[in-house]
Amino acid sequence: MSSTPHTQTEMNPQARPEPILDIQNLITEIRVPGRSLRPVEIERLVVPRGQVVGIVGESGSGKSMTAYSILNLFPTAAARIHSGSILLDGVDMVTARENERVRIRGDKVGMVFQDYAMSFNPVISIGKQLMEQLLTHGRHENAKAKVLSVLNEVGLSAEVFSRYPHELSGGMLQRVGIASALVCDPPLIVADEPTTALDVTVQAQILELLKRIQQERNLSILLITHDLGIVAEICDLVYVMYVGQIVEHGTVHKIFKSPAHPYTQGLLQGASSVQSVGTHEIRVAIQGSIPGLTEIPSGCRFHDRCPYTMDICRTQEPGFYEVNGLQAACWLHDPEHSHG
Amino acid sequence: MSGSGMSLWRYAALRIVQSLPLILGIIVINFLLINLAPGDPVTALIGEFPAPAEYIETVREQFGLDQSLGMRMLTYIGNILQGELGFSFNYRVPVLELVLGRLGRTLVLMITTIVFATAVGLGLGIMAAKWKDSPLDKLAVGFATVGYSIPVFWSGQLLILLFAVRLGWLPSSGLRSTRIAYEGFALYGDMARHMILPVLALSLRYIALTTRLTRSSLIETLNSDYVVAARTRGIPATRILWNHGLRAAATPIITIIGYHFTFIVAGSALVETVFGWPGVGRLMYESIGARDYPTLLGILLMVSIAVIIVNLITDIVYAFIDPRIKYD
Amino acid sequence: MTELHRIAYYFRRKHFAMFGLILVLALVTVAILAPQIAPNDPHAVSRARFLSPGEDARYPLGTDNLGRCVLSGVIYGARVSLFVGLAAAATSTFIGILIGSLSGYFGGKTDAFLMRFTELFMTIPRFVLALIVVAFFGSGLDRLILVIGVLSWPGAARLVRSEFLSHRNLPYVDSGRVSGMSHLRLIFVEILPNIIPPVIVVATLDVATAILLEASLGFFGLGDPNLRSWGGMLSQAQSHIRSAWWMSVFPGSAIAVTVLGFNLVGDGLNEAANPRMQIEGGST
Repeated sequence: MSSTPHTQTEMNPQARPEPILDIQNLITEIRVPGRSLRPVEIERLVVPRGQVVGIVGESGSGKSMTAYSILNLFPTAAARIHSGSILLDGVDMVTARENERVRIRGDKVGMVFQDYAMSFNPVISIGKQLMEQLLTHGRHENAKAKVLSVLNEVGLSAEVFSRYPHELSGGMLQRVGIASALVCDPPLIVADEPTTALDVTVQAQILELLKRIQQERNLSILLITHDLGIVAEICDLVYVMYVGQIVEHGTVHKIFKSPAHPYTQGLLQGASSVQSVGTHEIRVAIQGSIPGLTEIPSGCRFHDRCPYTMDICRTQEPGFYEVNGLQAACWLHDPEHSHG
Repeated sequence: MSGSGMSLWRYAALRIVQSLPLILGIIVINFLLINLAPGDPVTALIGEFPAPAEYIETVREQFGLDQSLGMRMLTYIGNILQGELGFSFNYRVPVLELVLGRLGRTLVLMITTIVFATAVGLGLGIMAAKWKDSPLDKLAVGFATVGYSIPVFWSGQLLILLFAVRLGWLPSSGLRSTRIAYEGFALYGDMARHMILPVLALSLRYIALTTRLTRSSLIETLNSDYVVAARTRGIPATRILWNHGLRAAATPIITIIGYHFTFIVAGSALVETVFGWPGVGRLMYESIGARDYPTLLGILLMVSIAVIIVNLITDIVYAFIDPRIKYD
Repeated sequence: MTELHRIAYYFRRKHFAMFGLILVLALVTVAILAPQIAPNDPHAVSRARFLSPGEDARYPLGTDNLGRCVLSGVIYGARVSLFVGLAAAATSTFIGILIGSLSGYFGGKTDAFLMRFTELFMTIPRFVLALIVVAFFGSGLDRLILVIGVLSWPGAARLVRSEFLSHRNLPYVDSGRVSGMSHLRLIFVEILPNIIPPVIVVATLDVATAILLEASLGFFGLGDPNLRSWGGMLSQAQSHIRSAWWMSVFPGSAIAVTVLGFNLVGDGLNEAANPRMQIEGGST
């Protein structure tokens, strides 16, 4: 599994294995004329092996940029990792050479996109594109059989092999997207809003599929979503993200039961208020809207929307505090500042 | 596996059927030209030559000139469909024979140009796209913009001035040397030397066009979502350029070869005139001077039909490359 | 007005577009002021034949085989090229708007028929047909304009059609229809003004093509026999290419610069009106 021989797993099988993904002090920047914006500033984010970890937040909170950062590959040349480390199965994606990163992408980590329709070349058949991935990763043996078996695994018939993207429905294409993430048997999958663009009924099927595959393969999944319903349904751990930073994390059970950060509380109120109508969309029950990257507030980034703002919130960034087994970055939980 | 859409063959058959009215339209336009031309339509059918009275009578009869316009049109279409394109008094041969006799030389020029210009334009376009915004890219784009604006006959004259008059390296006109009678392999070498300048002159505009379109379609493709997605799957950048990028660039290149075919026809007419290359284009120039209308009309008809056929092949090649087309 | 500002801003920023605009304006000035700037009567023959540039101060760019001033020919030739180019592009744009708007507005069978008709015109080798028409009907300036214009409309028609197709079901057209406006009013008063920017782009690029086509006809000896045109000058240069390079170099440069100017302006307008297509334009 691991590419480096000195992992804890091999040295001491009894010890708890290292996490599949460990992000520390990550800063991703986008250079625009005259300045540099920072869509992602993550102190620590860990995905333990065999678990499903969610990142939730409104759109504009930097979730997708986090996903691209993990691969150290960005859709625009203006974006790059400024500093930090991203240990992916023991390899640091920040310091690794590009040719090593190319070997890792798609092989050690599979990615599932929201825009399933845009993630395949429209003029090359599905089978050829999956084969291309296998072959470039040096898996020549029984490549076609492997592709067919993974198509079968995601619930598609062998016929899809020779089909073109435009001949498939959205749900089928997203299954192909998952197949492509799985085809090299990676230990980790990063899924960026995998169901958002799909019909509600199809959403449930895709989620079911992800859950089943996760259990069968004992996969680790990093699931990026704005949908708290999905988090509740599939995740073990959850990170709440706001304007590029993690504001709270812990087990799903605890976060849903007693959220410690006012932002999380707001998100959950919004979610519960619409759950009755059947969708899991976040309707943020928080005043105002998420600030852009050019207007990041000083101190706690949430202070101008927070109902409990204190003086210190406006000037100083809070650190993490443990509250009922959760980690929350909020001055309310600082013994010196809390009003009790 | 039967597929939801049309097969390539059915698509090809459909396109062929759709082309037939176009061919008919071309014939009708030719007919209208003859009959709208000032003076007696006989002049248009024979050219301005002192033809014998019996021949004029034969033409009148053959084309039904004494009948009503509608009947005349039907007769004309019938004649054309039988391959009866008239007689060139200037060369004293039937037009069809005359044009077919010259066709080979023009095709050699055109095909060499297309192959050469596509290769060069593709190379320049790929380099420009790969190193976008580099000095190399700016040079390629500048060259393409200027090259696109230069008329082919003038680039021909400039090439003659430089390589034939000034440097004396290459012959400036004709198909082969007249002073030395080469034979066998040397003859081909001699003809190739005579072809260099015409091909260069004719290529400039196509290199410019191919460079521009290859560059823009490559840049667009390399920024597209599916290319980003392919990179997240670990497909190396060079492989993406060759496999995905060039597949996308194939479309504009086929467009240039296919749909801009009429321009290469016009271009080769001009270039043949500049370099005294005795092909169909030069024939046109000579026929204008000689007022040899049947030859001109015959060329128009044959070239038009060639264009329809080339467009047809282009459509089919498109459908072959891009699976989405058949289903529209 | 805001559209104009945006285009002006864009032209200031993109040097190639500005350069093209300067070229075009300079040419228009030369054409208008031709009698004032030309050193000689462009048609006046003299005994000073084949003078090379600089040989005689009265003929800065030399003389041709008939002893005519090359510089004056180039200056007066700008009038012919620009006039034919602009008038032919106006003609083809007019026809294109007419056919394209009817096709796109009414759709259905009208559209199918008009598009087949357009396809026919795109199929015909324009240059060959133009040659024949001019050979039959003579090559006065008016006929050149008409022939080039009538053979060049399909591009504009297809563009106008696709614009009309995307406009015809928009709310403002629907509400106009409901309030009883006539088709004519909807087409020409309501929709047409909204699609002017892309039409201007095509028209500008059509000027360049028309100038090239006019020069090509001139090169084949089918220009207006009473006027000196760049294409005609190159035709005469062809016979003397080995002895009088200046007969070819100067008129040829004039064509290339003019066509380049209109192409650059067209590309610039295209990118300004359609920022999404910036990649397409390619010239930076």
